[in-house]
Amino acid sequence: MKILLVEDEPALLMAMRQFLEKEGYLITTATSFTAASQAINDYGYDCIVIDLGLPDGDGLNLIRQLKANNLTASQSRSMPGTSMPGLIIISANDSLDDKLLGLELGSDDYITKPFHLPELNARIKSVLRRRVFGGNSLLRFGAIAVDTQSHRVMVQEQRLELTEKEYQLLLFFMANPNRLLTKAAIAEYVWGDHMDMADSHDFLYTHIKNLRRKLMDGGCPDCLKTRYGAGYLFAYPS
Amino acid sequence: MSLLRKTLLYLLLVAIPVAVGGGWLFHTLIHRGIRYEVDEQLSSDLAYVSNQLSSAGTLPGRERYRIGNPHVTIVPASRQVLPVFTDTLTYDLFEKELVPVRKLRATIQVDAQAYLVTVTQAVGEFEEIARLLSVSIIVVFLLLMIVLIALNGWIARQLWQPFYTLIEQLRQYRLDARTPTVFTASNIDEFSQLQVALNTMSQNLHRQYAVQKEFTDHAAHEMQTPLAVVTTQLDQLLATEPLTDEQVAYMEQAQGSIRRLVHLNRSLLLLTKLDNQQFTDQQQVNLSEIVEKQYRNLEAYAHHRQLNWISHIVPDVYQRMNPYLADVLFSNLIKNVLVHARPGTNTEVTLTASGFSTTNAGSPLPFPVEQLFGRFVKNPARPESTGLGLALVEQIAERYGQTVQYRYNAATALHTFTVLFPVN
Repeated sequence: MKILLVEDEPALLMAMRQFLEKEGYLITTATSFTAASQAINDYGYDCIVIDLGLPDGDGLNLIRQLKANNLTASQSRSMPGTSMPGLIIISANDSLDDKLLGLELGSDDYITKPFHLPELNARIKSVLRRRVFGGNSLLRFGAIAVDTQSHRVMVQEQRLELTEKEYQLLLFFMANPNRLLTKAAIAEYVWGDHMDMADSHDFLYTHIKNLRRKLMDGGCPDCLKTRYGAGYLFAYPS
Repeated sequence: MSLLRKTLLYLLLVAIPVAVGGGWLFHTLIHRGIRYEVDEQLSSDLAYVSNQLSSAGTLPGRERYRIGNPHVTIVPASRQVLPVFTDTLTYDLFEKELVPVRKLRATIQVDAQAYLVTVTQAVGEFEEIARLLSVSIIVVFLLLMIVLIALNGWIARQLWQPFYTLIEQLRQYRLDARTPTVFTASNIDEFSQLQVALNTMSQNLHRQYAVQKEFTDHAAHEMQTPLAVVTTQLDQLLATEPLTDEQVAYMEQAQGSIRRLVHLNRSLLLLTKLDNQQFTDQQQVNLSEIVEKQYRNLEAYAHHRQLNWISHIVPDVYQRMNPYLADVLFSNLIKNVLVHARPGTNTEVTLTASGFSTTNAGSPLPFPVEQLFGRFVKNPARPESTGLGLALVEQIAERYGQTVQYRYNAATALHTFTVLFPVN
């Protein structure tokens, strides 16, 4: 999987790159509008992560350019498989206008700065599933199988009834296996900005406890472990 | 009252007394003039009679002359009297009515005999002419006024047209327009000056607005980016092994502080944008949908806090607002309920066509009520709060003509927040 990261802040770019490389992606980076524009022309990518606030141009124009390129490419080469790469917008601005405009232009997702790397990872996986593995929406992790189209969860071929939040939790854990996930990162992915309250961690704990119990009741070995008292680790017991 | 009407009113206020007073003055002057001329005529008649009497010598021989002129009577008098003018009424044989006459009586001495001579002159016709003249003067004056007023109205409308155009342009003025409004030029100096001044003002305003907008946009980017760097680097640090419980606890606390900073930053930017009037986009927003969504979002958490989470939401309540701000307003108030409600109590969220209200049980405010909507006012027991939520609520509500009220019932320990929508 080839991913292009467009971000002008070197420290952030480095962190994203290292994190995603560990996930096994092939990463290309661009730190300016010009470089990104060049990179888009030169190669094809499966997913592009674009920061809107570039010093030498509006990130939204990159999306426009990408669409134009894609149109001419599919016309001239008439390649049946050619499709737009997945697009994720990163913006410092959480105003609705940017978000709507971005989604209107064809971006698949929108993340507001600052974000957690596991969250970016989960979102990239989700976009890739939709864009690249269009037909195959079945996610597997040990005995757990998730159909991301119908939101159906099976454990050992048995249907598991999960609430919407439990389903999102499971998806986030499955996107980030064997990785320490802090409660803050988990809460932000599942509840967004709604959960910045005093005892929200307690609330999160209740949900995780329920999910863990349902998974184990379904016959799945215990995959969810607390780690260092402050986070969770989703790993298949060896 | 428009400038035009005011002008017309003043014109009329002046014109009517001038017409009436002028008519009266004119009438008096003519009246006097006529009397003076009539008196002169009478005097001259008297002199003529006196001459005739003197040359005739004796009266009886001139009997026929006297009868031939009904306006002159001559009778012998026993004593001298001074000439006197009087106004009387005399029966006119031809017109068969009493007519006003001017009479001059005087004695004339011819030799040893004195005669009392009375010369009369009918003045009814002259008075008639004087009245006619006065009335026509008034009528002509009033006609002139009407024509003047009509003309003035028409001219004023033409002259003030550029002014009305400017007003219309000002009314449609939008600070966030892509280019500054250019006001229409006029060939009238005064309006031309006004137009130039307005253009300068418009350009300055537009520039300032752009600078402010750019500043807030940049501020958002410049502050969120380092925060994003810290967040991701902490994530990376968390991915290293081995870690101790202590280290992870520190990192998690750091993440919590970053989140607080992010929220603070967003709220401050929002307040700045509100102050700068950067939310000009307005539309009819379905508040019922927004409130319902916010309410559902927090439902599970409310149940977790053992709250009896009750709502009365009238469907399809619309208000003209910016959708983003509407979202902030209602989510802040609903979150407020959730955070401050005492566990195990009832909370209520109500939306009707006339307003929105929330009720929850909780301890009294730890600070004076006047500070409730102030910036950075927070409960010391909840240091993680930004203290900006209610300030935002009030500012947004104020922007759309809504009033926010707060009540605390000490007996039931119920806090009630009410947002009243403007009546129209």
